[in-house]
Amino acid sequence: MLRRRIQEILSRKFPRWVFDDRTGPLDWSVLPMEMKREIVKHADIRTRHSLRQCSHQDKQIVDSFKISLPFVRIESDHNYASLMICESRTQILKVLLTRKKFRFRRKTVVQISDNIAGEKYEEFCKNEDLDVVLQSLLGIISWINITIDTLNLDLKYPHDAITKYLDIHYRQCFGPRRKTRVICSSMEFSCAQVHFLPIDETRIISDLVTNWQSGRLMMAGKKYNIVPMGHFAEIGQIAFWKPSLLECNLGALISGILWKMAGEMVYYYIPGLEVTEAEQQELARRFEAVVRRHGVVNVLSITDGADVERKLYVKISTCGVQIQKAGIDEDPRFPKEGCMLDWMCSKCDKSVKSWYFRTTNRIKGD
Amino acid sequence: MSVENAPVVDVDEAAIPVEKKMYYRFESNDKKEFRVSELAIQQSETLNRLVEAMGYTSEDVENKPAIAIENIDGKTLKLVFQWCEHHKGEAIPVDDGSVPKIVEIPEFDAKLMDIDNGLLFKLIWAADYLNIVQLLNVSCKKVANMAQGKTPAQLRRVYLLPSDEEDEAAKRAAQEAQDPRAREVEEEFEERKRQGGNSFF
Repeated sequence: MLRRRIQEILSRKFPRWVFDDRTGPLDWSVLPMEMKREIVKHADIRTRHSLRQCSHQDKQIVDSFKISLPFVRIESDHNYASLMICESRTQILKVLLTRKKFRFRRKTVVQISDNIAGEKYEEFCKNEDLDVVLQSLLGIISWINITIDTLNLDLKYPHDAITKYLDIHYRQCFGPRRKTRVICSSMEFSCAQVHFLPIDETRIISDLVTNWQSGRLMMAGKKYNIVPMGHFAEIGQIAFWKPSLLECNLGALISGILWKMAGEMVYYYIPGLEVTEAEQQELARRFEAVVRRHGVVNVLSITDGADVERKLYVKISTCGVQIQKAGIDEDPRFPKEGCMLDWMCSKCDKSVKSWYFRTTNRIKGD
Repeated sequence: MSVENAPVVDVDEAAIPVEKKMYYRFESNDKKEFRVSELAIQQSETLNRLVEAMGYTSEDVENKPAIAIENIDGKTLKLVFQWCEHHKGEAIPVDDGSVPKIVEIPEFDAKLMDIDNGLLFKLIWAADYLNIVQLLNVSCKKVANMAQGKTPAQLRRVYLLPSDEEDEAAKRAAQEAQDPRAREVEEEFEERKRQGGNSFF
């Protein structure tokens, strides 16, 4: 009686033939639909794209999911374009298209890799021109069931395929994808003729630091409030960041900033720098600073005798240090949500987009 | 812990554990018996509910016959219980519905699943059947990884995927084999259509 009841419970899910002895290679056709769906859930974008070309049923399975891509980056220049899709820190697809001339014929070289640096790529050549290949490539992220959380653009040349894609999906007012956060990595987007594109943030990071191998990285930044001429859509904050190596202690850095108080850089971020209580007291004594506490952040307010209009806030937390130049009556600013180190903090910001910017700018911690 | 050292016990091979934990007895369809700890059982929602519903005491476990799982063979069940014992006490992941699922395959699981494809698919079926969420995740991830970077043509070879035409042909053959009368009716219908009449309406 009990045995029969157990069997009743256990045989609700699958017919018995499913468990029949079977040898040989994998056979997709004998898998129940639920199982196929379960496997497709774990597949990366390239596999899903290949699978949906195999048969109608597989296409239906793949298309039945709503896929959210955390980070997509599109780059373009005169003779190349690239698309990078980061599904996670480990699931990356980077496709680089380069226009080449072979015996007076225009061809496109395609390089596919699974890392952000584009290393260890597989390469093949297509007979079509770059624009045609690019259009078909952008088709991967154009399906209706795909949403993109952050779209990072570094556009230096107006490729028709990219302009058309952005126009259809992101144009001001009626673009269906306006939940996507658009971050530009350079100011050249005005040359790329995307004046209709609303941009949430422009994050320009100078790549002039040459010695990446040693020292702690410091990001010096300035936020601009300008709109490029001819850009009709909304445009968010524009920030310029200059990475440099901090090869001195915090006290020497503060002295240096105080010495050049009139310099244009307003923010200095040193992610991961730990400052002990004793060191904080020493800094406060040395610079005659007023110490205040805002939640988990200790703020040292330093005024310089030579400059009566500006002062310096040194914000110290377990995540790192932020130094901010401010007007004499201005209060220190703290973000309403998240960490004061923003995308540079690997402890607080675990998102794929911030990880990408940290990794490409060699900020340690991930 | 290596795969070999995982504490699943074949009754006829190894000694009964000395600890005073509750060990349930399960029997595969080829009559192999396994002893699995109460904590390991919790990884399987189906088995956990089953043993809860049965309300066995430790005497019952010894005296009553082993719980039969007739749909799974001994080889697969051994892998399943090895996995459960290794991961006992771990939190069961909750499906948040996000696609793609981001799953890392731990070293132990990778070694455990270093098996032939037929057995791997049986393991997936068993994981789904017994509702072992994390085992299903890692085994599906393993199958998905097999297809990584493959073109559609290569995928067809890896998974033995049928094309649309083959699918249609198989469906037709199955229909015909199932119901010869249906075929006759269809032929009759086709014949009438060819003659121009529409006697059905």
